[in-house]
This record gives sequence, C-alpha cells and structure tokens, in this order.
Amino acid sequence: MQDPQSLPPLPATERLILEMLVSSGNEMFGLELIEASNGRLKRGTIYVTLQRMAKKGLVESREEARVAPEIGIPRRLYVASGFGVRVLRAYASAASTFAMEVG
Amino acid sequence: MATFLNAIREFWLGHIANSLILVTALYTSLLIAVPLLSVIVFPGKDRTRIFQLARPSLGAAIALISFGNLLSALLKWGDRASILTRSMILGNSFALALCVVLFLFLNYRRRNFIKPPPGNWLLNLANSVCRKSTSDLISQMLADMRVEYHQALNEGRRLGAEWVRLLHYVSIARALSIDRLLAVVFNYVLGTISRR
Repeated sequence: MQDPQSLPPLPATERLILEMLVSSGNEMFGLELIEASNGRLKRGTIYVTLQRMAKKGLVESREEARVAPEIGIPRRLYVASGFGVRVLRAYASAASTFAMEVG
Repeated sequence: MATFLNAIREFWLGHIANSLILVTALYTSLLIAVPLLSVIVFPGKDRTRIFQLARPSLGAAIALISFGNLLSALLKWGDRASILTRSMILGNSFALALCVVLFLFLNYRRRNFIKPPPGNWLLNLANSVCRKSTSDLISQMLADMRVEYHQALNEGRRLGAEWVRLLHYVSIARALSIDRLLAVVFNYVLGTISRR
C-alpha cells in the first residue's frame, strides 16, 4: 500500500467524481456526471471541482470532436488519469484497512 | 471603514435613487421627443427603425424610474410612513411588475425570430474581461447549458428551456462566487431599509 502521507488530499466530491469516472470506464461530460450522481453533484460546483482535479492531475480532459457544419462551444470530456486511479485505489485500501482495524 | 460604509448607507443611497429617477426621466423624455420630432421635421421619412429602437428602451426607462421611485419610497419606510410613501410603494411596485409582464409577453411573441444562442453575451464578456482559466470555466458551463437548453426546445418545452437557462446562470454565478457578493450587497441594502 502507498504511504498515506504521500497521497494528495481527496475531498468527498473529488472522490465521488473519480469513482464515477472509473466505474463507467468511459469519458464523461460534466452534465452526464451530474445526472449520474443522483443529486449528489451540483451544477454550480462540479466544473470548478473538475478544473481543480485537472490541475492536480487526477483527471484528464479533451474537447469533443466536432463534425464540419457544427459550430458553437465544444463540450469537454473527462476521464480519470492513471494517477487518479492509483490515488482512488490507495484511498480505498486505506479506508478498508482502517475499517478492519477499528472493527 | 465602518464610518465610510455608514455614510454611504445614510446619505448616498437616497441620492442614488433620486439621481436614477432624474437621469432616467431625462432619457425617457428624449425617447419620446426624438421620434415625435422626427415625425414633425421629416414628415415623409420611414421611421420604423427609430420606433423599433425606442419602444424597448422606453419600457426599460419606465421600469428604471419605477425602481428608483420604489427605492426612494422604501428608504422613507417606517412605522409612521405617510399615505404618500405607501401609495408610492404600491404604485411603483405595480408599474415595475407591469413592465416585467409586458417584457415577458413581448419576448414570448418574438419566440419564432432567429436569436443568438443563449449565453453569447456572457461568453464575449468573459473572453474579453476574465482570465483564461475563468473564461474556460464559463465556456464549459455554457456549452453544457446550450445542450440542455436545445434539448428542451427540441422537445417543445419552451418554459423548461428558460428554466434550464436560469438554473445554469445561477450556477455560473455560484461558481464565480458572485452570489456571495450579491448577498452582501442585498443584506446591506435591506439592513438599511429595515433600520429606517
């Protein structure tokens, strides 16, 4: 298991987003994440959180591909990065170890 | 700092309301005078464009005058508010509500016109004023808003689309922490009114 001291802090919202991205296995839009979260993620916070997570390197993003006649602002697709997956696993194993020790 | 804010609260708010009424009244007279003068001075000319421009501005001006009057009357509000103050509040609230209803009605009638996509003005503003990270954030939110908005329009839910737009504007304001700033301003103004 990774040393907990070396892990970046992972607030509940970021953890939820990472879990959803990892479990879906696909790239997701911000709006899809909101819909999939059943009200746990809000429109006003998710985009700021995703931007912060991208800065931390927990998620990667790219603009959606547009077909020629389409115009307008391209949407952004998010996927968990390799580092994000490792951090999530480390937190999950730390949580299970803590649960076993307490239990 | 507290003294400075108190000075604004006690003195300037009333003056702001009065200046708002005065400036808007002058603007309104111009809006009425210019088309009328154009009829008198150039009798044969096509004035459709002037009237088209003047009508919504006139509505906005009347709404602003009502708002200024309302603010001015609310500042005089107290346990012993005169009949005049009370009737000013009632009358101006009615005028303001009427302006809003007329605006919504006219906007509803213009629903079949080709319009720019929602949030265009905000995107232009963000691109010219904000940092890159902030304008990226706003464009992401607007992109998702447009998807949801047009989905609702395609399903024939016009009111639903407007509701989606409103929700997204609120969430943009929340993401940029504008809501906290507005809350401070509103609390300040409401605090002023309740203390008078």
